[in-house]
Amino acid sequence: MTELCDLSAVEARRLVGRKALSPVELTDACIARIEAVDGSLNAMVTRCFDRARSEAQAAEDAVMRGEDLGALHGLPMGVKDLNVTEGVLTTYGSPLHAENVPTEDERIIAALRQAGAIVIGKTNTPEFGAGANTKNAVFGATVNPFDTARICGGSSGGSAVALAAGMAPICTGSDTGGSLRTPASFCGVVSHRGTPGLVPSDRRGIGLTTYNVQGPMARTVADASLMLSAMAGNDPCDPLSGPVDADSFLDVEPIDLSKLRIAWSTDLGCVPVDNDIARIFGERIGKIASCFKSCERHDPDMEWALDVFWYIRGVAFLAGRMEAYQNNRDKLGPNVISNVEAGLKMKPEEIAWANAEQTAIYRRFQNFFEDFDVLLCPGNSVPPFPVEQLYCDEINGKKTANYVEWLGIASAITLTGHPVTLIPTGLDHTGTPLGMQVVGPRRHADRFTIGVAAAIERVFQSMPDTARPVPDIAKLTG
Amino acid sequence: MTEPCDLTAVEARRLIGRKRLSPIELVESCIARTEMVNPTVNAVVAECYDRARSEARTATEALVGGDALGPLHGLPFGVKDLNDTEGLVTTFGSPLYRDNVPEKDELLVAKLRRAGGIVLGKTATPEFGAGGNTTVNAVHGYTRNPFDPSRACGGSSGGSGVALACGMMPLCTGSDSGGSLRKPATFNGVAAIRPTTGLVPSDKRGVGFTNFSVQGPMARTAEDCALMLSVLAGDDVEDPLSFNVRGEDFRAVPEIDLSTVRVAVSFDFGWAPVENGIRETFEARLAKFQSAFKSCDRFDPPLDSALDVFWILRGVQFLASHLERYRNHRDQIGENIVANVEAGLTMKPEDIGWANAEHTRLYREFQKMFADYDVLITPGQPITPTAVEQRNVTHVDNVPMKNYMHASALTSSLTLMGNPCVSTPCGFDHTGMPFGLQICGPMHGDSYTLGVARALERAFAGDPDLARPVPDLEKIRAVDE
Repeated sequence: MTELCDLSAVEARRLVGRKALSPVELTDACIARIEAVDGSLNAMVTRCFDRARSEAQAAEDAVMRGEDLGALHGLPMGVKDLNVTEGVLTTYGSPLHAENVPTEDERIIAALRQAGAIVIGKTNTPEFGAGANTKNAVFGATVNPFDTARICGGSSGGSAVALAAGMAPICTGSDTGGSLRTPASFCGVVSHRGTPGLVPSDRRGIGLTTYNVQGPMARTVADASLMLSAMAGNDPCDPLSGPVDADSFLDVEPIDLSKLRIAWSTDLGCVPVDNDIARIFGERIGKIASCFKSCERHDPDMEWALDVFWYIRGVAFLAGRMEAYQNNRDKLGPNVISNVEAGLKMKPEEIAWANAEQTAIYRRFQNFFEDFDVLLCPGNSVPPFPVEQLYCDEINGKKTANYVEWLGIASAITLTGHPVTLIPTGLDHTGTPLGMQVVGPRRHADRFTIGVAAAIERVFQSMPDTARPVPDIAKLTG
Repeated sequence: MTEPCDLTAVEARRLIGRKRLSPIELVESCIARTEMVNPTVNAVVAECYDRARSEARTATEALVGGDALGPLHGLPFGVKDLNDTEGLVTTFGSPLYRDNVPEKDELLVAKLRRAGGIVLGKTATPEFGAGGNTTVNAVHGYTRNPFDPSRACGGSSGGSGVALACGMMPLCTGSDSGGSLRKPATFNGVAAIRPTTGLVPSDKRGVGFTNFSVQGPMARTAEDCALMLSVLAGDDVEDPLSFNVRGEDFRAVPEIDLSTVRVAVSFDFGWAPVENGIRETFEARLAKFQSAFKSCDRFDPPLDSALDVFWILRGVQFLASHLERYRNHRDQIGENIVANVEAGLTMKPEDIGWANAEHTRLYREFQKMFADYDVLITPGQPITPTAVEQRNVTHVDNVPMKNYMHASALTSSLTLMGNPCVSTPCGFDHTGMPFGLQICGPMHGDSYTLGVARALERAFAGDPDLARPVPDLEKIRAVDE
């Protein structure tokens, strides 16, 4: 019973181009799905259906007139509520901005709309994207479509849920310590965290870091790549951007898995990971291991990654939120406050140490890839926890040091700036999805990484236990 | 009477390729020139003439054998003493490393040698490259300006600037945090490009994600800089800011018709210290050449907070690089390092947070100017070279400086931006020392910016007020004893 809203972006775009599917029909199907299930999920927290319908009509007219069509022509899109959208409420999940309606789109939104995408609504995010439980004082909590009592992950949680539930075929996301990857992993969808600078952002508060990278989210690797082709570019608004062939992402590079030397790791040698998640991840590796030239369990040397991430994060919060902390503390949530206060306690020599150590970790990571083409590791370290809980404070019976430590499996990779594609691997022991991070061998190897992820996705998709999990839409309706 | 050592790199390489000049001849000429003037100026602080001669012989044989030749085949070059050189003493200007002989070339040296370049020796730098007013350190003493040995040559790539000006070699390496490629280039009348951050990858940058410490070429012409840049540029896993480029794309300098170029001219960004004599010189030079451009507007890019941002980020940078030495070897490090580390230790985390955010805000505002302008031109340096003994600039025209980097704001502010900046010689200043221009182009517009610089060099060449100054070597010739 595939409805139009469940089509992949690539398929929908092909049908639109052939005049076999009208953007109006597709948009209406997405709207109908949102109206059917979002009462249970709370993912699409602001909607702009009227404008979407009118843009869909214009898109249809353009098709009928035989105009040149953009890569995303007529595709409805969910936009994370951290992205600035012209004429559409943009709250950042903060009461301070509960009525903020921007007058222009930020760069990626403008680029995606330029390519033909139609904004259908805004997807929920934690306050200022801090933390991985998508819950805020403006819109409340977004829940996991596979178990509505548990979290969907974050901070691009609304986007992941919207995709899993068929509300839109593509959504925007962004990622500092796993915000593209954790929700994709928890919801059984796909995301790509590109090499910093590949998707230039005019909004990154600190330009020369690997933090806060924007990227595509979708249900298949090919869809994410298609979306990336409209987001990538060389734009001086982002000091990390450089020469790039964005059109190369229109198609996925075919990769022969039998030529690849794979390293896999359950915990990167240094981050806490739940024993059951580690076990199931190992089982999933077992199902695909024979496809590769070699597939060895091998941890990269990422010692200190958690500490480095914490210090650099502290500086980033001081850079971005100090003013709000000083002037509107009562309107800030506990995650933001605790980050700013942690930052204020840091010593300059500790910050300097973290800066240098990040580069040392980066260089050690390069050495690791002299022997391997790809690193595979879990998309999350623990199963989704109850939505009431702000963060995971204990793993395998041990207390975590701070509210982002449970995201270490993702945040450690952030420090390296390597491209990562997140793909589903089936369900975990608790019945919610578990994803896999496919980590590329070097910065700028985005196309290769996406190609590898697509090839692994095909293998997983061929087996019922590992195929992309789909939530029970009927159960979510009403 | 042009001797081989005075040839440009491009010309020497062309002659070598045509078998009109042998690498042996060229290396001997460079060695002879170095021996003639180096005792006075002290630019080359370690030499490897035996190895250079043997490499030159091999290079000559390759020529005879008809082998494929690298773009720098047979060209001698000088290596800043901050760069690791295999088998050749590398002190970083610090007594702690007086006897340090690395086993391996660092990336940029290895690339230059692979392309056929021949290391002739090491060029002087202040201790760990800190302090750009004068090149002096406790290992090698002072390096002197060849136009007036009582004056400073600038730094931290001071030895390279002097060696080029004197014809000791056609190419030298340099690096730049606050202006260390640009200051010695201007003070000695030679050319340099501080490339777009990441274009020249480094395996040595301690903190990868910054604009600090960018390596780049120094030479006597923009075209020679481009030749060297074409070897240095390219993606490399060692540097987290490197990106997808092909080095060879930078070899050919584009022909730029100056009458198409829209120029923004700033004397001081509206606030940076620049002494009156330099302002007057710049004004007079502009009067001579500004009509060559399509337009030439006075425009100060919005860089108002750059000095504070630079100082804070620099403090963090010094803590990352030197805190361990400060704690364990304080007696063996100099005052600039100590002062920078101690300044870093007093910084508050919220100030560091502010500096990081403000840095990016400035960056974005700055880039907007390139919608209206193709390049920004400023004076190459804010002051004329001081007395060689003066370690830091404490005053500019009697105005006291806030800290020892204050007087470098004209260059350090552009460091923060990461845009390419070319130093181009432009006659003499009000005190008879070399004057130059700083030409800043759009992000990744390195070739374009070099193209503008070369077009200016050509326009300047016929005019003694504008042409590249050349020191009088007779005056600094070593006296036989």
